[in-house]
Amino acid sequence: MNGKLVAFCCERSGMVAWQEAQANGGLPAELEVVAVPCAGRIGMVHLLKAFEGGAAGVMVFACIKDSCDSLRGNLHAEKRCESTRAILRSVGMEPERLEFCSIAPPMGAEFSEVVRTMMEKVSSEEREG
Amino acid sequence: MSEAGEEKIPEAAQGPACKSGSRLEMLLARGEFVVCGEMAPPQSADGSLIERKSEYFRGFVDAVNLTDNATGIVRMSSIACATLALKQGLEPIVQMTCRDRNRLALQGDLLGAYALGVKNFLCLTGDHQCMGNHAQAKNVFELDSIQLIGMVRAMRDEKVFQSGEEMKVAPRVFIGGAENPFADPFEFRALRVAKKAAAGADFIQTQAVYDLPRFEKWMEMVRERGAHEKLAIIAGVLPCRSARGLEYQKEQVPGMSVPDELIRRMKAAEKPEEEGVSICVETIARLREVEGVRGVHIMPVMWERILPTVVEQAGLLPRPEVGDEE
Amino acid sequence: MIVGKGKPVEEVVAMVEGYDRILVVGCNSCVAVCMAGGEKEVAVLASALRLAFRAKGREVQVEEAMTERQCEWEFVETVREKVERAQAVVSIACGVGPQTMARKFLDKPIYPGINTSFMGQPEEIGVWSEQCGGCGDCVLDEYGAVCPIARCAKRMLNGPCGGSQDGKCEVGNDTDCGWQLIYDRLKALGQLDRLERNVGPKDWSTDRDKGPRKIVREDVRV
Repeated sequence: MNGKLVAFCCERSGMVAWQEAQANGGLPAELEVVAVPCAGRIGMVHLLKAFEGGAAGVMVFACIKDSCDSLRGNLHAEKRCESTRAILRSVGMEPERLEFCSIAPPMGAEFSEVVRTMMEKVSSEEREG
Repeated sequence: MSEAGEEKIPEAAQGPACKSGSRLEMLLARGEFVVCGEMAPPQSADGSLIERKSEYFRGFVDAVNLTDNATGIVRMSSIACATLALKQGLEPIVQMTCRDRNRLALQGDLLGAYALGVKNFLCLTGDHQCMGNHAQAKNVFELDSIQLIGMVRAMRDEKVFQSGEEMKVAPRVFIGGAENPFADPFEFRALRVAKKAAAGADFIQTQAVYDLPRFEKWMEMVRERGAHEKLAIIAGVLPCRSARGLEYQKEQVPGMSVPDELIRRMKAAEKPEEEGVSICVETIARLREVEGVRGVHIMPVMWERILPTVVEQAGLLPRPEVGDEE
Repeated sequence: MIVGKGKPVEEVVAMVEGYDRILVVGCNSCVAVCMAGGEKEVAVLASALRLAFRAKGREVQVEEAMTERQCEWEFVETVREKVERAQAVVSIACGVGPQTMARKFLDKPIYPGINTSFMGQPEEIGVWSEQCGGCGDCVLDEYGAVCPIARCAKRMLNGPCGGSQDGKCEVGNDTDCGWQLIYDRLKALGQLDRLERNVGPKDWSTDRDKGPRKIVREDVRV
């Protein structure tokens, strides 16, 4: 693993929150952000490929319930995160390395918090591992 | 030399209408209100259990059912237990389901059971094995109860196997089926009795009756079709010993109709076992009033020792002897 | 369509434990539609296998391929190159796919990556139900186009049994009582009189009971 964190962000919510978080400063350099038109565009294979590429932690930021512009894209994304976590468990990796987060556009502080928590989680696992 | 089996039939029973000469058949033919019981075979190789349980049935019932891996729980075979019951002076009704056996085994087992002295057979489709203790088993279900009834009738009356080939000595058996007046579709349940009669059933035992109004409505529909004259309908009852037990039947057993009022009575009772017996006895009394009901089938599930009490309190003693007409 | 579901990843990993070069092959027909063996599922399984072996400290090469219909010789031929490169193949087509592959690539171990279940229909997204019993002697005409073999848990031809309640089967799992469906359908068609007749024992020799089946159509063999 390369210690990188990958955040898949819905353009309408996650990306906006990221921009706010970035402006406030404090986001780790290891964070790589991937914009998607809707969290529903993210397939399990994208999440798994992120881990294959060496990511230590992966996050998905989707619109909060009932706010999805594609109606159910965020629900599909959440289910796919659950299924991907099950695969991580099956292949001997910690499922906590994948986090699904519902976020509204003006939630830069929340965004930073999720990233910070994931950073701490994967760092401590690195130390233990 | 007479044909095997004929020697056992009493002279009075050898008329043209006599199909099997079984005690059950003879009593029904005479117009008696019959009493059947039910024994659960042992869940082990201990055949002596049948001997011990027989004292609760001998003299209290006209015939006793031996169940066939009921609810998909493996028990000693019905035919084996029937043979043991015969030795105890009981008249057995062997239950045969289509769940575990194909037509080859069913026919072979029937011939064997008859040769061992069994005259009454209850032909059932069978509970699905998924509810039992061997849920991983493959099931058979290549015949259903109506086809089984038809097959057995043809063996008896036409002396043919299901393949059409003739057999030298036919099993002269009394054929039963089961019906559930409380299952769905309700409107279809009376027609099913007629279908079983048409297939060749001589008698029907019903699922345990708690819901009398619904049962009476079903009997009305059965009578409209004249089915009650083509076969003998024997209504089922189940003496319950606890409110919890009654609730279990209501919630967990498919096709049971249990009025809430009875559960309330059981819960309120100081002595639930006595209350359970009372409810059973009251039900029997009401069933005797229903036109077309020719007997009662008492199923004392996990409470076989209560059967003599129920029969006595229901005023059904002494049981008639086949020998004493007039 | 044929309906199946992916095997647990651990099970597949255990099958191909000892290999260094693996190929995962999917099928673009039934299993793609029931989201068990299509292109996406191939990618997910291949990725999962790589991660699994990496976690065990091994870098295993896992390639991916698709066949249009994995039961057809010509389509299976199209993946020959990739198959020959691999030491073992995991097929996530229905059970027919890996067997066809095995008959084409005689020296290559072919492993099943899905559990194939039944011939069924997608009721809604994510829900498939068994519909056809494959008995070889269709009697849908007698039962209002509701199959008593596939839809009745006891395969009754003179149903229902005594366990039918509120339109549900005694096996539970919210399974519909096939005979309630038959009854409702015949009632709607005004054909309830069909149920007055008793149907005799079925000839099961057209079913799997006679042994593995084969249909030979001489009229098209030239």
